[in-house]
Amino acid sequence: MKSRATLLVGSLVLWAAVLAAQPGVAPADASVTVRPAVISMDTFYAGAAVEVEGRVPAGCGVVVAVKGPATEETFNKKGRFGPIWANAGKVRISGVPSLHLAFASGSLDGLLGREERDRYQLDRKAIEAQMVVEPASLDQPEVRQNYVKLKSGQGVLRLEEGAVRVEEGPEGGRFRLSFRWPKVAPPAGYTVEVYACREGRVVARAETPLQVVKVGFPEKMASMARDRAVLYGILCVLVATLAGLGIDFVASKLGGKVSAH
Amino acid sequence: MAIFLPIAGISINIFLVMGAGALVGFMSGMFGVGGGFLLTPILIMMGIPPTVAAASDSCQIVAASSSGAAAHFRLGNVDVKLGLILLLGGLTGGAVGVRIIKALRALGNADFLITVTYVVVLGSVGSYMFFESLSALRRRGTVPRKSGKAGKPGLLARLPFQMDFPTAGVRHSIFVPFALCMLVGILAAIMGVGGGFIMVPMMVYLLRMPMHVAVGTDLFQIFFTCAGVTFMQATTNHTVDLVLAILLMVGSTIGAQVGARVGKRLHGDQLKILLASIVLLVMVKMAWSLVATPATLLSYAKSGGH
Repeated sequence: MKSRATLLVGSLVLWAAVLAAQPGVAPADASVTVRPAVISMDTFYAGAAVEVEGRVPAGCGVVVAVKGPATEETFNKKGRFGPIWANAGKVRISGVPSLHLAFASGSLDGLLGREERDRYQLDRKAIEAQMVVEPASLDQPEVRQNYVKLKSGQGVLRLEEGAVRVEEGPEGGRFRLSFRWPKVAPPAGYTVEVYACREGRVVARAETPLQVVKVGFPEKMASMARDRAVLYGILCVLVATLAGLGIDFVASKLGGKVSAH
Repeated sequence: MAIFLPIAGISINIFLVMGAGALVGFMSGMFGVGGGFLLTPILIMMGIPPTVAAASDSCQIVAASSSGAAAHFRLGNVDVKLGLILLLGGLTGGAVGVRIIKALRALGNADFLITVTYVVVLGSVGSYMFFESLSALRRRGTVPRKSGKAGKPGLLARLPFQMDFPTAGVRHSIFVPFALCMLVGILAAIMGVGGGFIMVPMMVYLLRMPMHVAVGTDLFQIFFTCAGVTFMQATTNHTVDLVLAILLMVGSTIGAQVGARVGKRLHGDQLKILLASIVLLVMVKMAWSLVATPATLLSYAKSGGH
């Protein structure tokens, strides 16, 4: 009798564990998958179509953020000298992702409060707040705003509200996002983060990696430039010289003999 | 049609890059200027990292200048002897200029001084060239043109190591082209450019060379300078993108051929006035950038020039 009871309890625990492993059955969690998980940059690479989908608890709004690795860049900063604008020195900016694409199922302001957006670095103000600007003596807000303006212009800092579609079902919410991977984004390891939002707060989150790698001819060229620099340097000069002389030869044949003056 | 650039690490439209190369190549073939002052900013605007843009631009100038110099050589417009002296003077001046710019940077506000130098040098050279060519065009056919040697001051004629440069049709002390090119090299290093648009006017007005020979000889010396820069950038900074450079080359070498042929059909004074107009346009753009409020206060720190 005792062994039958033990067996029953054990079966119930096992069943509960199996249920908890199903993403849709555990409403407190979020899940995400990205296709393709690896974007291959071959010779004629021109960006890629990316699909992100997954589950969130019922009644939640969704924010998807694609973030690149933290970067550090040096810029010239212009300053005013009387009526004249000129470079007034260098600025080093760090602590910001090399790429930050944010997609939301509605208005980001409506989905999340300021504190949450700052905490998870989900909008431009959050990026401005977390970046490190050196030297510290500079006008910090001015530099931060100009950095965001510069990067937004390049398309590596973007927010699209209403881009994520969410469908409610018996097992919670199911979201889907399609977007074009920016072709200016360099090869690196990126992260796709999903935030389930309710009443201005993040109630569940999930993330998955997205690799962007060079393959084939671009990879061979890059490794030659890096590992066999002298050979690569000679090749560059030779190719350029021969190309110039070759085109001149062809042009002289096509254009006929031109007399000197 | 897009192509992936292995070193820049981005994908870019092939025809856009080739078009930019053709534009700069046309100027190179026509006026003997490298075009780095124009192409590097265009590439940066396309999203190429500044270091890769500057280095790959040098590589494509090797192709454009070899193509342009070869075309000019066949036309008898390259004075090899003078070109080698100019190259030596330019390299020496460049080395001195790099030290000067280091000292200026240590003093602070060097970039402001560089921009002002740009405006003053381009404004002076461009204005002089423009008005001189304009008056030459007006008096064409009415007043006999002066020969190259007629305007040479007596002091320069008395300097030692006088040498004939038959292709250019001038005779100078070896120190004159060397010193002048050293001065251009210093200015070019300070301004971060190859200096073709200073070198050509200098050869025409101070060395009294015919415009077409000045253009051909300048292309000849640009070829060696940029070949050296390309090799050093590839081995030191690993920033030469050969795929980008090849696309630029295809555009620029074709552009250089067309430029050399169009230049051949124009009179020397017409060429001078066109180059003067471009120099003045660049000067006006730089002067405007000094006073106009910029769209953003940050710009990528450029490394190197040509």
